[in-house]
Amino acid sequence: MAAATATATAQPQIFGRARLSARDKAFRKAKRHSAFVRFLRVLLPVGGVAGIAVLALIGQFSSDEQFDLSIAKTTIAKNAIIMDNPKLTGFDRYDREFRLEADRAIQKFTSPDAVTLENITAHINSPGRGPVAIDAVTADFDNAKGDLQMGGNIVVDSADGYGLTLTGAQIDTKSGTLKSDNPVSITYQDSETTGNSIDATDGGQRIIIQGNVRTRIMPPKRGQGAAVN
Amino acid sequence: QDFGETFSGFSSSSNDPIMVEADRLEVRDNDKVAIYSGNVKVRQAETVLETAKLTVHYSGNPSESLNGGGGNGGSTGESGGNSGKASSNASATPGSSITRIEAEGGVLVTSENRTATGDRADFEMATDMVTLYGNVVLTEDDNVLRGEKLVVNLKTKQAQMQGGRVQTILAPGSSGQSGQ
Repeated sequence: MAAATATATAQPQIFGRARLSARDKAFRKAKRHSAFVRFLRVLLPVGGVAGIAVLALIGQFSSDEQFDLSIAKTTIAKNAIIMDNPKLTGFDRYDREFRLEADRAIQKFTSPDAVTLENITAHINSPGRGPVAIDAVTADFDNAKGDLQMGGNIVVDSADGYGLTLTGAQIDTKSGTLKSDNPVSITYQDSETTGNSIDATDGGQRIIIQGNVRTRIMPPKRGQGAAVN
Repeated sequence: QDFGETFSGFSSSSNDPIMVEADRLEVRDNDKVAIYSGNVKVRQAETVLETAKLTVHYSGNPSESLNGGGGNGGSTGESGGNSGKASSNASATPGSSITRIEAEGGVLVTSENRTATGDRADFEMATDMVTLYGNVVLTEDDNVLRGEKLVVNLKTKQAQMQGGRVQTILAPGSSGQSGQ
């Protein structure tokens, strides 16, 4: 099973579905499967423009990864658990090194399967690939439905030369789809494609960009004085 | 006439950027195609191609060692132009990943005072050859050349009209040499 070792300064007492009552056993089980931990795993694959393509793999996450979870401070509010500066680092079974952090994670008691994260930054290093960085302003994840609503600007940048910027996206982690009705820009090496909306399915194997589609391709640089304007 | 010049802009050895405009772009990475549709315009330097549907075939590597697992393969909705997949070695020059481009649903190519129209066109990147098929009409100012198939070498600008009854209408006062 996943070993979530909490190494925070303040020992996080409770999170997940458990109530404040003495139901330790349920609490320990909840701790491992809390929506928050599962969310952080889900967000991992949204790594890189190709992250859209990797969404389909989300379901393949098994729980035998090893990762460290640190939380600066956990606060039990009236109706939610608030985790300050949660950080998740480790390797997944595809030997991808990841570091993922957020300003805050909020998990409401009324919807223990859901978690909201604010100001997310993720870095992912895959074997043989360049590092990928993802920044997003907010993310609401409902683990039961596999529904991930990302708000604000989302920037994905890969050292392999591709990048993705969009504003707001709805991701269905179960069927591996990403949709956004806002302007999107996808860059790849020397080219950029923009459009008014994006609809990616099959984990990104099929991507439709609609409305005002513009692609600008700079020819590969050839020797000296390759005129690039 | 130098009808081959009509396509002068389109050449992979050109240093000019290529602009593609369309209503819609669909990238099907499994099939390695990017399909632009709806008012498609491709512009490079002075040359503009207009068509209904442009299908760009690209090679690109499969999403690296995904072995069904993680990793950042997968396509972007990237441009049709350089849409080579993020190959496992980032050195793969994107420009080289396009293999073929098909234009369907009527094709109009304009370049300065020349036009070429046809039912459809194929661009083979490896050989830098473009072929225009069906109801081919070439014009240069008032001169017109009709035929069934036009083959142009984008590098040498050599153009050859084939098939059907090649009909040349030379406007009075233009030089007699045909575009053959």
